[in-house]
Amino acid sequence: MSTHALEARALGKKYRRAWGLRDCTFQLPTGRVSALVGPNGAGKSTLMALAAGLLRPTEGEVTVFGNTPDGRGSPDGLAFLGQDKPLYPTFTVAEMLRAGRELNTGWDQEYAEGLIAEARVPLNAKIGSLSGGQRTRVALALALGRRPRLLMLDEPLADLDPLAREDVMRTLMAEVAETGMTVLLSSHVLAELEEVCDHLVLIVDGSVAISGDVDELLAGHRLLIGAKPAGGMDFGPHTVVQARTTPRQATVLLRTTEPVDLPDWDSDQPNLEELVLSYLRANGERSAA
Amino acid sequence: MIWVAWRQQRLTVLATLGLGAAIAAAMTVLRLVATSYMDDHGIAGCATAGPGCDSNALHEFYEAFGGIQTPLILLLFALPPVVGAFVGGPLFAREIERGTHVFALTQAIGRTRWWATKLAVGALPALAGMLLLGLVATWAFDPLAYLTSSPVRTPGFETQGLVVAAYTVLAFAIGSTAGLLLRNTLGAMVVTIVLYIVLLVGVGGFLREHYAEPVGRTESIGLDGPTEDEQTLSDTWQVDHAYLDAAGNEVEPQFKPDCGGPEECMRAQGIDAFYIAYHPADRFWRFQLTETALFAGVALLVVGAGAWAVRRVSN
Amino acid sequence: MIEFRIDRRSGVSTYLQLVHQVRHALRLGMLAPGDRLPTAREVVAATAINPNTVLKAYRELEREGLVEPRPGLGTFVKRSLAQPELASDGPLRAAIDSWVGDALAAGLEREDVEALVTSVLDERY
Repeated sequence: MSTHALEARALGKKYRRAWGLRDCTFQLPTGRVSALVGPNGAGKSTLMALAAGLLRPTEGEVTVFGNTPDGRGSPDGLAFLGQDKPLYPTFTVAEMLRAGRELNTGWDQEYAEGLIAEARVPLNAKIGSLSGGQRTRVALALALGRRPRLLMLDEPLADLDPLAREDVMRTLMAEVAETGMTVLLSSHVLAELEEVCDHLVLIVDGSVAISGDVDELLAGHRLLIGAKPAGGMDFGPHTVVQARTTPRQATVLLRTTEPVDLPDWDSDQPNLEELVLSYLRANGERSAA
Repeated sequence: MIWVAWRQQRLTVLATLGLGAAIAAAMTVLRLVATSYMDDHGIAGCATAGPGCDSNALHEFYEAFGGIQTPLILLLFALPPVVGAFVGGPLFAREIERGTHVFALTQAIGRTRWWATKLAVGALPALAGMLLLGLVATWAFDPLAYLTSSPVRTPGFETQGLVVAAYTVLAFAIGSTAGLLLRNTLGAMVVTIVLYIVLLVGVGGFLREHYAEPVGRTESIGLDGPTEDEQTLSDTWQVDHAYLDAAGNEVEPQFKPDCGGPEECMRAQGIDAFYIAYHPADRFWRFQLTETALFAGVALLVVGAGAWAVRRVSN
Repeated sequence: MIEFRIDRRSGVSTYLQLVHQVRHALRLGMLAPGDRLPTAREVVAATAINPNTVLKAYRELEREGLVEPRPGLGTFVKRSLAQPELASDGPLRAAIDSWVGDALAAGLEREDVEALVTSVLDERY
């Protein structure tokens, strides 16, 4: 069996007018909780739709536990919860669970009912009458009831109030602790996911800017703050990801695995937000140029 | 999956069957009342006026029942495209509009099975109901032939027998496939009704008369009053007629105000005989089978297009 | 049992916050040898953080010899960090108490005292 829950190789999807995703390569190892982060329209939903078999790639390939999604139902082991949490609005919660049972093999009714009970959503309530938070909990129960090995959630926290966000995340993380499943969560707000992810895939403008283990990514970068040098900035073997300067000060993100020995600079490991923001700014500067 | 499809469509399916049942009940009542009226007025079994079928009595019969039968015929005319548009149109389009297809397409079940099951659960009850309705119409309208005029002629042909079900199946196929392609309920409904009307008018106006070679008949002009043959002819579907001279060539008659009575007038132009081509009423079932096969075939093509379209449905 | 509290704005990584909180509890005697730490599931169900983070923190504590995992049972405290000097009636505390009294008498503000203590700590540790 593949050690990667999800793997993309030179994956690309062209829509009628433009590429939604291009040259996208990364691996998501099993057992990780990964944040798929990027600005709106960067291609996060496209990537998930490709992995779920809703779309077919224009080029390259994506595999889920080594299998290529063929559009004939969800790939083995994957449960996908789309943006807007699509559920049948006229169904009751109990009927929705029955739909989950009818449409899947290996459905765990007891477990799904337990999750609904935990969320305190009445089984006879109509889906259309639920609040955003309750709806998300039901959709989550439907996804988890399939006992997936990989759970993909597209913007699961959008339009939830802070309390509901916390509830959803606590449920989700408890299930991860229990089952060891792999999770891929997308969001355009990194802060939502910073506490929960140990793996990051950053998508900018339809391709992967960086991906990998969060600790390794952070250890592979240095954030330098210092007086703006009079001449040009030279960092030797280290790659400059992005540099910002005020008339006096400069802030530079370096990508490097070597120890940085630059006495004029105050060098520190960046936090995740600084890292992501630097890559986003770097991309903005490239497209502006 | 069958349960899910049924749970999603049960309201429309039951409403369709309910409407069909109501129309069937109305037709049954009409038949019972009309036959008893015909028995009472000595015109039982009369399809046309003639010996034993008093034309005044038949006219009164028409006055009494024509106004009741006409709305039923209109309903039977409208039902197939309405079912196609309102049951077939939203079948996939509404799901795509609401995004719920993303739920269905990301479960373990394959998209082709999803599509086929939804189609079957929506179409089969409608098909069965409309088949029954068409047969009830055949039975109910049979003694009312004088009102409907010939069953091979519009509107009798389209509102009886097997074709009611065939029309419904085609309209349903158009509705569901248009919904997949347009991803829009209203658009799918409009396309269904427009395409259906175009097809029905095209088939009824141009194609149907060629299902069989019409019977040709030549009669000399100048006989007074309707003959027995002509009585029978009023129960047929006349598809062609012409004026012939003694040699059998077609003549275009010119009616002038000063040439006397119609007969003299025609004779003066060398017209000797009158030719008509028609389909007799007993071709009803043969034509029904042909038209049913034709519509079922087209429906199959449209469903095939749907099978292709469902593979392209994305999020 | 210890309850963790995650401060998302502290800038300190989540796993270090967990490690610090366990150490703190060990120092103050809130956790004693033999006590069970909450399972990863219990922690994440209460705090909505990544379970791998909890496991990572527990591994770090294990490496320091403070806790030990017992398969199938959970993670247990092995060694306490409580020292007699930390007790509320210990001599070191009394010394600080009198020193803070001097600082007050000298008219120092709380922030002045904190800055002074931090700078000495930075020098020595």
